[in-house]
This record gives sequence, structure tokens and C-alpha cells, in this order.
Amino acid sequence: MKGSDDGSGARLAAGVCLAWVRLYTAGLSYERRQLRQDLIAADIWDQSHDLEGRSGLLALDLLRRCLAGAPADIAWRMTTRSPPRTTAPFAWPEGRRSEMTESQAFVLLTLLCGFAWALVAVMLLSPTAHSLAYAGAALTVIALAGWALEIRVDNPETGPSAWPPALAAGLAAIAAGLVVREEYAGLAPAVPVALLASRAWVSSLTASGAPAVVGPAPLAASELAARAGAGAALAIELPEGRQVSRRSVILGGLWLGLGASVAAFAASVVDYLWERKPSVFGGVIDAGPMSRFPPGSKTKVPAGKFWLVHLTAEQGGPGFLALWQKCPHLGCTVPWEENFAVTDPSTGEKTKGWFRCPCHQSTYNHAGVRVLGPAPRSMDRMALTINAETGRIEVDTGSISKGTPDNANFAVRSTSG
Amino acid sequence: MRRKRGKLIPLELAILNAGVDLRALGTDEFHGYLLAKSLKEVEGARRLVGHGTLYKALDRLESAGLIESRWEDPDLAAVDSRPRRRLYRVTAAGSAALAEARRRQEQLAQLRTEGAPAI
Repeated sequence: MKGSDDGSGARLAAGVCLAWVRLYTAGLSYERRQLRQDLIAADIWDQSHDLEGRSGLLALDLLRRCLAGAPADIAWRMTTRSPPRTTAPFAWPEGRRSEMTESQAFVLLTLLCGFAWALVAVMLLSPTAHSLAYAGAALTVIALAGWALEIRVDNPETGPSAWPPALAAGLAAIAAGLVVREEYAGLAPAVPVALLASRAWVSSLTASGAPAVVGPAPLAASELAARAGAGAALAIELPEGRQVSRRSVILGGLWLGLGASVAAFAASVVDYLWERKPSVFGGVIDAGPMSRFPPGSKTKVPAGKFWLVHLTAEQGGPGFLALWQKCPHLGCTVPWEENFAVTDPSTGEKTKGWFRCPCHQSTYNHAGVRVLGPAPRSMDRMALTINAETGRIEVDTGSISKGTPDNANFAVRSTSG
Repeated sequence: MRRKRGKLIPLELAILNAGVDLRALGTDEFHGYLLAKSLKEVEGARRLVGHGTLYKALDRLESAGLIESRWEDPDLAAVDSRPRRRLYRVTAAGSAALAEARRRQEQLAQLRTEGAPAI
């Protein structure tokens, strides 16, 4: 063997063997698992000391023995009975009330509180028309999680359970959200819930026997990791009397995670079924208020792939036109060339400013009327309406009329004249 | 396939055999790896038996009462700073079962060499 053999391969192989032991003994009693691990560990130790100095061979042989014995391991596991369960895997709230300690309630309330405020923040940051239904779904999740964990708002001992009403409110909000489409409506249920959760959190913080002010600074994540690495049981560090079992944190996380994924799934279904008008190309595009387009302007609206043209009187207006940017010749995108000058064949005068296709030099005037080039017709127009109430220009990109070798007098007249 | 109760498979017989041989050599109790090694020598096999195969067979033999086992003194293991070993020894019932199996094999071999008795 080469001298560079440092035994790391053998250590890795031994680790694999023992990992396999832990895997197939999963579900057996702690003692039984430990015994089995000791058995195999001793065997590996004996073999490695028997074959000292040939650890490359050893690593391979360990893996081979592990693999060769795997079917027998599985057979052994199947004939070895798991210990009877001493407790049911899930207990419904009744049994949990007395179990829930103040400190556990504190941590779980912190989680719920954070979840509720995160919900509010998300709703403010990215408003959606379905916010009420989403908020309702989230509220339902919070309520279900809270109910399952049975944290009471007023007093952990005697207060009424806050969760059934919260659940009802959540379901009602989902139902209302199907009708009401208001961007910030979701805040109506979300903010009270967040406030309520915060109140419960504060009252839990100042509950009897606990210091009102959080004492020592919480341990840094690196320190916790170091402790866990050193084999210490991982406990979230809290002020005295507020030790929280890992079990309760994991359980809380489990419920929240489970609920959140169910809610996300439900929300995606609702979103999918939601009737909506397309506001992309093919649908009606809101180009903005009339005032944004001064007379004589040509404004590109990329979302609708059209030029919004405000024609002046001498250009054939006054009025608005939505010209599809696609050249009727071979489909290139037609830009407005402010400084391009050519002789207008209709007047014989050389003027500046034309729509000119870069591909084959088809040239169109202010109103998109073809004057030069290979294009078969003038630029295509989209149906344009001016909303009388709002004064906004709406362009239906799904309703396109083909251009003709036409005059420029087809502009939509603006009421402002 | 379910094996007949009381029937020993070749590996189990080999284990009993190896255990009796080791005792004859002065090693009353043996641990798993020692057994695997002597099985390899006895059988002339090229490789050591797999962990699972070996310990499952030992488990079965023990529950049949043919071998017995105990954990070695943990202090002893601590001296070498190694994991404690499980020590096995062949019981009287195990020796008897082995003798019985050997006897049958001999009978069978005899039958083969002499041919079946005329009816």
C-alpha cells in the first residue's frame, strides 16, 4: 500500500456502516438500537485493528460486508418487533391544555405573532386583488395551528379559547374574498389578528413569575451550533424559567409548516379558478390618463406593443391613435424616427419625423399612413377608447383593424378638442 | 421461504462448528469478528461474511438456545478504548445439535458411497 494511506477511507466506510445500522434499526427501542450499534461497531473495530495499515482494503471490505449483509439486516428488522407505542402520536387539544407550559406558550405565540405580522407586511408590500381571500386562508391556518396547540389569549389556565372564533373569521374572510376584490381588504382581518396575537404575546411575556424585561442576550446561532456539535442537547436559550423543549418547538414548526403548505395549495387553487381579465397583450391595456400624451407626441407602450399617437390638427387630428408597432410588411418593430427627413409624396414637401421600419424602410406618417416602401398597407390600429369618467385611455390590443392606403382622418377625436 | 423449525442452515452449522473448534483451541468465548475470521479460514472462503448475515444467524442460534452471549466487561473495553464486544459461546444444546448434524451428514455420506440399500 502507498504510504499516504491515512485511514480516512476506512473511517468513512465505518461511518456508512453505522449509518446503515441506525437506518434499519429506526423505530426500535433506544436500548435495542444501541445494542445493535455496539455490536457492529465492535466488529468494525476488531476488523480494522486486525487489518491495520491496509485501510484502503479495509474500507472496501467494510462496505462490501455491509452491503452483503443488508438483506439479512432487513430480514432481521422485519422479524424484530418495534416497541409498543406508549402514547398516541397526536393528542387533540383536551389532553394538551395542562401540558402546555407558560414558556412553551410563549415561544409558540412568538411564532404565530411573527407569522401574522409577516402576513400583514406581505400584503402591504405586494397588494393583490385577492388579498382578502389570501388573508382569510392565512388566518385559517393561524387559527388551526393555534387551536391544535391550544394557546389561550387571556389566561393559559382559564381563559376561553380564542381559536374557534378566529377559525370562523378566517373562513368567512375566504368567502368574502371571493366577492370583494380590493387590494387592501385583506388587512381588515389580518391586522386585528396580528394585534391580538401581539397582545397575547405581550401578556405572555409579562405573565406572573417571568421577568418583564428579557434578561440575558440570546445565544448566537454559532454558539448553539457549537454546543449541538459538542453533543449537548439543543435547547433554545431563554431567560430563566423559560426553557423550551425542543419537542414543542419542532411540533409548533410542524403544525405551522403543514398549515402553511396547505394554505399555499388552497390559495393556488383559488387563484387558478379566479376569473380574470388579461391585462397583457391581447387584453385591454390601460395606457394612462390623456394628459400624459401631449398633442403631437408619440409614446411607445411596450405592454401593449403599440404607439400611442396624439395627432395635432395639421397631422389629421386632433385625436388619439393606437398604432400596432408591427410593420405590416414583414413584422419588424417600427420605431418613430424623429430626425428622419423625406419628401412627403402627398404634399411634395420634405419634412422630418416619420415612422420608419428599419428592415425594409417602409415609411409611415404621424398617423401610420404608408407613404413609402414595400409595406402593403398602412400600420394596423388597435381599438382605442377614452374612458369618459376617468379620462384614461384604454386600448384593446385584441381588437386590431388592418391599415389601408388611407388618409389620416381616422383618429379618435378627443373631447378636449 | 420459511425454514423448517429446528433445521440449521450451513452457515449456522459452520458457526457452531467454528465455536466448538475455538473452544478446543482454548478460546471459550468468541466475538463476532473473530468468528467471521475463523469462518473464512474453515470454509476456505475468500471473503468475510457480511455483518447482517453473521449477526442474524447468531441471533437465530441464540433464540434457539444453541449459543449464548453476553456483553464483555466494559472496563476491559475501556482499557483498549474500543467498543465493547458481544461474546458468544456454544451451549451444551449447541454442541449436541452440531454432533447430531454431523452424525446425519456421515450417514448420508455413507449412503452415498454404499449406494441405497436394496429393498
